[in-house]
Amino acid sequence: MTTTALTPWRSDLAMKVAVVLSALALLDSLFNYLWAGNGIHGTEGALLVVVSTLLLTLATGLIASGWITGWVRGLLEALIALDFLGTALAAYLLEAWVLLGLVVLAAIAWLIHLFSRSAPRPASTLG
Amino acid sequence: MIALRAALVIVSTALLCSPLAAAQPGSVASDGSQAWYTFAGQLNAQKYATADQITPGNVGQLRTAWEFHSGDVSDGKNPNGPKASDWGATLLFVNDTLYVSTVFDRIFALEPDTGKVKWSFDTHIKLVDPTQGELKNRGLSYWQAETAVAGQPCQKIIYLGTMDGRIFAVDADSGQPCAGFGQNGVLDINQWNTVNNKWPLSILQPPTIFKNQIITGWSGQDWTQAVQPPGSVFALDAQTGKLNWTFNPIPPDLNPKTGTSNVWSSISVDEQNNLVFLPVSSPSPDYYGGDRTAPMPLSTSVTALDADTGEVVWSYQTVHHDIWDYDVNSAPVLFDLEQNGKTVPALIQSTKQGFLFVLNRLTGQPIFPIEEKAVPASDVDGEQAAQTQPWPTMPEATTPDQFPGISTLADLLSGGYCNRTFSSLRYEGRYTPPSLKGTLAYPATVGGVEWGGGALDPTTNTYIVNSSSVAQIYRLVKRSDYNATNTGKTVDQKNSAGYFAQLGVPYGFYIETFLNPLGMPCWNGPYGTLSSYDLNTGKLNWREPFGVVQKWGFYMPDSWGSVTIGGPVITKSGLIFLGASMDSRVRAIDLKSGKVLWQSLVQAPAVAEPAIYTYKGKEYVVFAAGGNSILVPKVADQLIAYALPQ
Repeated sequence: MTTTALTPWRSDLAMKVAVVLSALALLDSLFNYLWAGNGIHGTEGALLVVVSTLLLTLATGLIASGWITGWVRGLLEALIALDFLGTALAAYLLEAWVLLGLVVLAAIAWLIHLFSRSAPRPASTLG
Repeated sequence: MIALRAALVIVSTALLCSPLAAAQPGSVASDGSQAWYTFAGQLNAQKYATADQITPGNVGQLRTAWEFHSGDVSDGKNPNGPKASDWGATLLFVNDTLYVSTVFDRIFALEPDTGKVKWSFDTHIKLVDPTQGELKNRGLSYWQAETAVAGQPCQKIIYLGTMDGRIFAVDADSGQPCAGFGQNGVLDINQWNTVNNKWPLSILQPPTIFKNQIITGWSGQDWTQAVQPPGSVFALDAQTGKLNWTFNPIPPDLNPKTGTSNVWSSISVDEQNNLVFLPVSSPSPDYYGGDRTAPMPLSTSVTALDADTGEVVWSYQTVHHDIWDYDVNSAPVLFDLEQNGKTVPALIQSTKQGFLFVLNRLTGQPIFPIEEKAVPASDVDGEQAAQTQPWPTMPEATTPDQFPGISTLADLLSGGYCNRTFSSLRYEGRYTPPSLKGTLAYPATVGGVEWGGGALDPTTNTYIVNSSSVAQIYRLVKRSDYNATNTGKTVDQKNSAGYFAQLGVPYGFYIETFLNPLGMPCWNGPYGTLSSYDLNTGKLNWREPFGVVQKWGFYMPDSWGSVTIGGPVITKSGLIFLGASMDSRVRAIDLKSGKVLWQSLVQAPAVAEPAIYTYKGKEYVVFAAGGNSILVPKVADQLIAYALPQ
């Protein structure tokens, strides 16, 4: 039995989904910051997640574009992981449940991208 | 033998009296439902709603019925505009109408089912604050003639007290001034501000109306100077404003040395026994008493007066020689206590220090034992702190006797700041006197229990009260040092940012909340609780953290609770409604368990006590969300009514 890398389309798709979800998270953060009908509008915490989701969108976008390679890409992936964790924690403490949901889904998509890119799979099962 | 005779008199009187009966004209709506006719719902201050449509089972379905915005709100950020607003007005439901006042001293009459304006009245008052540093208003008062004269206006009157000490009287049906009251509908209580007149008296708490009298105290500035106006309470004729009597808690020979001990909070009334109960605050200046060591037994007390004459019937001092600003700050709640098979007329007085005093309301005698405990002596030259303080053994205080300890998280995140500061302070438990090195004051002057007080279910004598747990640092500052620190500042500036001038005594004062440099509390939570007591036994039923601390938008864990300002209301159906917390949410809580069953976000902390009424068969719960700078710098003008869907 031999192994081979997962076809890249699945990894690419997952990354694109992560970008879209991050962008939606950014929009939701902006809405939370600007809309007076919630308990967090105009607060430092709401502004913080606007910034963190903006960075997340940019970083996932850069990865998805394929322009970033090598160690810079590795560094960016590590920063994205920190951004996901920090934004999710902040969203939890802000009780911004839609934002938290979007960030968690984006993180799942990003993890699929990571593991799809690197995980080997059996290639000889069909003979 | 004398004690036995006294007991027999008390018991026989008790059998004849009940604080529950509603005799005051206007206390029942036209459909026979309960009116919400005073600041505390009823004259006995129970804050108990007989409405039972909203229950623990359906409270989760509550929806916004209507909202009203007066536009009278200020964040105080415009240097040329009004100061920040601090709106804690409980609305009245009387005369089949809702009445609410604003921080700009306007009155609105609203439709009870829609919130639409029937009429409004504008005092056109200057939006300046003579005493408080903020624009404050806590609501209105209502009087109704026992027998109305047909065709005559002002048989039902709404009264508004203002920050400059005037009382406006307007016809409750039309909103037109009552010409027969004062001068064309306005009466200025500052005409009687003749002793130590250092500033105008402010009325921010609605006067209490009993029979044909308006009974009002006032607010002032007991932190700025030693010699100030004595804390007079005025009883006025409800239709003319004529002065009937005056109560003064300060012995006249002490007027050259001190003042205040004013009644700035709500007043309750025992209608059957013709008694008025005053929560009397501390004398001036707040934190140094070396120049006022003579006995002042009526200061920092709950005091019962004859409603007709203003004569003192009894008084119970809750703090001797108060140097902590532990004002008695809320209307005592009246109830009948079942003890040894007998009914005892009682009251419960909540306090800033978290003690709950349960007294016989006819005699002032403690119902549960209160000990006189030795407390620490002052180490400040000239000060003579009291050697003992009254210490109720039951019910359990809402705040612990001991400082709850340094928060490990706050200390770690500040590099040990909290522990270092704590070790530099004087702290020997409750009533540690203010000192030059700095005293850890726990509980602090912000409470404990604030002016909202507690609520009582008279069917079970279940008493509900919200309380804060706050540590502050009290530091007396020698006059020369105080002057050096405050050189070049205006009088207002010398009394801001934690500095209180206390002019006329050898020490100024500096106060700060015990926070680390990140703004986190240095002490362990919970920072706010809601407690339930069985007042028949004096035992605690349950205590739960209440509210949520919010910092930079982040909500802290529920177990921390929140500092609260505002009071609860209980319904017959077994619910507690309470705003009061920092996170601008209003909540319904199960009376039996203390669990939150429903919550809703409003635009600012709802520090006003909610009002509950039934109109056209529908029960409404109304909160005024106005904010309070002690909690968070967030203000609003939102009056919001909740009801079940059709």
